[in-house]
Amino acid sequence: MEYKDLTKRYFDGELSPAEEQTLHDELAAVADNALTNDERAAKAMLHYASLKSNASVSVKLHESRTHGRTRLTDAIVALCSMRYARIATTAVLGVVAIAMAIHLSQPTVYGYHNGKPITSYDEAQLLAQDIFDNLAHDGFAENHDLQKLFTLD
Amino acid sequence: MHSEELNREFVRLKDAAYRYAVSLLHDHNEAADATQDCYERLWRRRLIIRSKSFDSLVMVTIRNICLDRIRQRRRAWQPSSIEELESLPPSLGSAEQRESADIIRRVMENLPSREREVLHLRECEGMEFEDIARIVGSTESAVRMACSRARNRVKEEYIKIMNYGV
Repeated sequence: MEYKDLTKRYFDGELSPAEEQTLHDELAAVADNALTNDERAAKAMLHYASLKSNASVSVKLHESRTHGRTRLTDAIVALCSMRYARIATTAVLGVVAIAMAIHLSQPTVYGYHNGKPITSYDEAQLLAQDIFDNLAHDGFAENHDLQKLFTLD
Repeated sequence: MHSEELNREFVRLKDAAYRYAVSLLHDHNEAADATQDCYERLWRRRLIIRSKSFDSLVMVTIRNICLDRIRQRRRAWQPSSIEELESLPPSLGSAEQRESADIIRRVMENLPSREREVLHLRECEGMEFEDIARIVGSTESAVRMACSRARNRVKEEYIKIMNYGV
């Protein structure tokens, strides 16, 4: 008589698959006229499910290990699934990531002033401007030969 | 996952995937094609497939294939005919049992698609609610509710038909 309680819980969605199987077996053993409407419905549903779960299909499978590419892929999978290979791969990737992080975190050197690296873009621009200004004042102003080049007469 | 393992695992699950496809597509031939497509997709991706959650992956893949086919069918305006709908094997059970099962089948076909899907996975495949939730992209409690609602609907319709022939 366990099926009476199981039927109520079945419709509330509270049974485990194993309990549903028990309910199916118990209801199958009882004649329909001894069952209530709910129990008869549960019996029909469970019977329908058991009929449907017998359907089968054939699928054309690919041949394993006969094709060259398949063998190669399997070898890669086997290699990737090896514990030590995974540890080694992780370690190498970690080292590469750290090296890249260090490289990217280093400042850009735009030039050197009195042996000191210039890493600020603004400072580099100012220094470059100074150099050109100095050249204009000290060099070109006194260079008469060069001035003649730009004189028409 | 290597090819032998994939073949072995897929053979174990192919019938469940096929039955799920039949419940979604209502067409045995199309469901068989969808199952083959599912295998082909998994074969191409076997290098990145992990064997841990292979069952769910198969069911999710077959579901996506079926939904794609349903969309294509809608675009092409070719609804499947009533004669093509799934039918039960005639040799199983007594005439009374077959009649009951046929009523259940017809009632289930009229359920909302989500409830029908959940009910199929639970009743016919005996899956846990947690796994069903993963396949249909929902929560365990929502799936449990949907299953309970579907069972009660089927029950009410079944009783109505059996008692009053409606």
